[in-house]
Amino acid sequence: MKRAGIIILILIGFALVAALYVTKTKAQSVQKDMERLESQLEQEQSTIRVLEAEIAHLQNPARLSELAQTHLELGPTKASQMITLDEMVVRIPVKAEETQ
Amino acid sequence: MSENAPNSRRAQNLSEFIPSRQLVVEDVEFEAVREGRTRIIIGVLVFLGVFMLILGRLAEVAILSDAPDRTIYAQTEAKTRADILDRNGALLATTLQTFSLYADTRLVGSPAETAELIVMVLPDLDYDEVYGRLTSGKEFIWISRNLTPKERQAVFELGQPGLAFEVEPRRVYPAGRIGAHIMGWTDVDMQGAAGAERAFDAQLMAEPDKPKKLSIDLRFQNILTEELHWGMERFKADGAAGIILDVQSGEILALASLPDFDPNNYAAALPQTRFNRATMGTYELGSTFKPLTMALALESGIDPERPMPVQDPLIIRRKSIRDDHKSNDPLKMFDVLADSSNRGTAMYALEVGDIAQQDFLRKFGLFDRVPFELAESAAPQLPPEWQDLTTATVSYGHGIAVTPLALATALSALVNGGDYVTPTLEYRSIGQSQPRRRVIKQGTSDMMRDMMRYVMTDGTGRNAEVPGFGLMGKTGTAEKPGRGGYQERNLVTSFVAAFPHSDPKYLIFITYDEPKAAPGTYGYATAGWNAAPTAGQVAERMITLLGLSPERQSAALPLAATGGQ
Repeated sequence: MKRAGIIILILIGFALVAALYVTKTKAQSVQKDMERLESQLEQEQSTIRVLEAEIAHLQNPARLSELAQTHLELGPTKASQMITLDEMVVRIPVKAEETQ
Repeated sequence: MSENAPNSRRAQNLSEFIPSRQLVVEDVEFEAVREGRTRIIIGVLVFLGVFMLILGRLAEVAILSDAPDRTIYAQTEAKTRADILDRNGALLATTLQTFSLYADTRLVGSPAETAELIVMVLPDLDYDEVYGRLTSGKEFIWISRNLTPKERQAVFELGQPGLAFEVEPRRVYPAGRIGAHIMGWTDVDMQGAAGAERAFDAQLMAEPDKPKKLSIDLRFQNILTEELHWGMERFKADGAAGIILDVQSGEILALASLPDFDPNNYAAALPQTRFNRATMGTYELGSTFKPLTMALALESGIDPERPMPVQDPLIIRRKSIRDDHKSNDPLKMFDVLADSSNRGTAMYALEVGDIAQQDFLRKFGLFDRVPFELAESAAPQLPPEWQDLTTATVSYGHGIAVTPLALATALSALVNGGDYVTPTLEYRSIGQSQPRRRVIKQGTSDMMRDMMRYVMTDGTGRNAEVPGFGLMGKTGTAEKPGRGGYQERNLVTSFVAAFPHSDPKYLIFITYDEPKAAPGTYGYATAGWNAAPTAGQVAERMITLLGLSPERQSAALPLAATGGQ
């Protein structure tokens, strides 16, 4: 009886060690996965930052106005190009007559 | 053992008769058993040894060893400083990883070929310099710092041995020169060294994931910078400064100083280009001070309808006060401002007295540095003593040198209903208010608005007028003090514009340092011919950008509302 008890205890011990080993190995592989993902995330984030900076550079008003002037021959809007709704009423009948 | 004992005894008994035969049998059997036992023992020992080894290693790996050290990636260290955004969320400053190229010269095969290839993909570098570095024999030598990912890829593709990269964080300003003086720059350790980078350094470092929003509007900033560039070129000025303020919230929407620099390459910038004229330069700004004197006179109870005898010479301490636009008739307050009469303004100030004048200017923050975030905020240069002549000259902006921002802030209080609002670079959403204090009555502010509107329609500010939009304004032309008094040819011109007239929200302040006459200005280099049109163009572009509706009726407003003139 005593001998069987010892054997069982030893077996339980071995089982525990084995379980611990398996768990630890799993944890390590998960951690490796995590590290890989984290570094991937960092890389993606740094790419995003580069792209955001590029967007900001491309959208820079100084650059846009220069491009608009050279390629579209557009310039800043003049105040005289702005009219109110009241003034529209004055202009539209003239246009209507022209088209007829 | 028990089976072996009788066998050996029997062998001893039999040995006397047939010893040799008996011995052979006994020997074979015994040897076989002994050998088998030894083998078993060796087998068990080997097995146990290996088993213990495995067990030991298992225990060591599974139980004793700690988790392996986390690998440190260069990327995780790069994000150490928060981005800076403008009020609409456009990126003004960010931190990028850049790649710095270095060489281990012992591994470089052919320095001449490598140098040639490097110069081919990085045209900024000099062949001789690169060759010199590659042949230096050093284990580590920088070839080029802060390369972009594209440049790094190009170097990779050369496939030359001995070249390697180190990742370094770097502050990048996508808008470049636009807003350079507001942004400032960081030093090599990513510490803010000037501008907003310095002012908000602690916040940017403490919360690297939280972008910092500034009050700046990049679109206005660009308009201001472009128009100032136009003026600098046209009027051959030494420098220029411009400010756009939100007069209600105190937010600085744009602030520019020319000549400017590229904060992406601040180390190469000349010191004079780094100088922020709008907040660090103190100038005797001249007649743009006059609205303050008018407000002082109104607050002191002087009747704006009373004609001032500006046609008579005004001599104080044997110094004659001159008028640029001489009038033969007495002028009322509206015309004193519209014609920019020094005599009339001085008369108002002298009537009110120096104590009241000093108190008034102090209330408008003109005796102290502007209390806003940037460290680059200069204190004014005040007159050493305050005589009656000082009172007269200060009334029209001479003898007191202040920064353009200080005067712009003071003038904001005149048109916004009478509150001095401390200017700020921080974004203020609705409900977040800036410290403010009442400095003049609402009624005085209303009259100042009409008076400054009148300057635009009937006075020196005509060149800034945006047809259909009720701008308010005032010119200022001052001679620069130099050796032996004021220099007639070296001018500082300025213009303040505010709109809309009905409910002022924006104030534009433009200053040129030593502008010259240009074709079309009839030989004049005064404010009405350079600062005023610049301010008008800035206002026009802001108005169309904002889509403000025209205020055509307001052109007639000053006359109807106040009966000014």
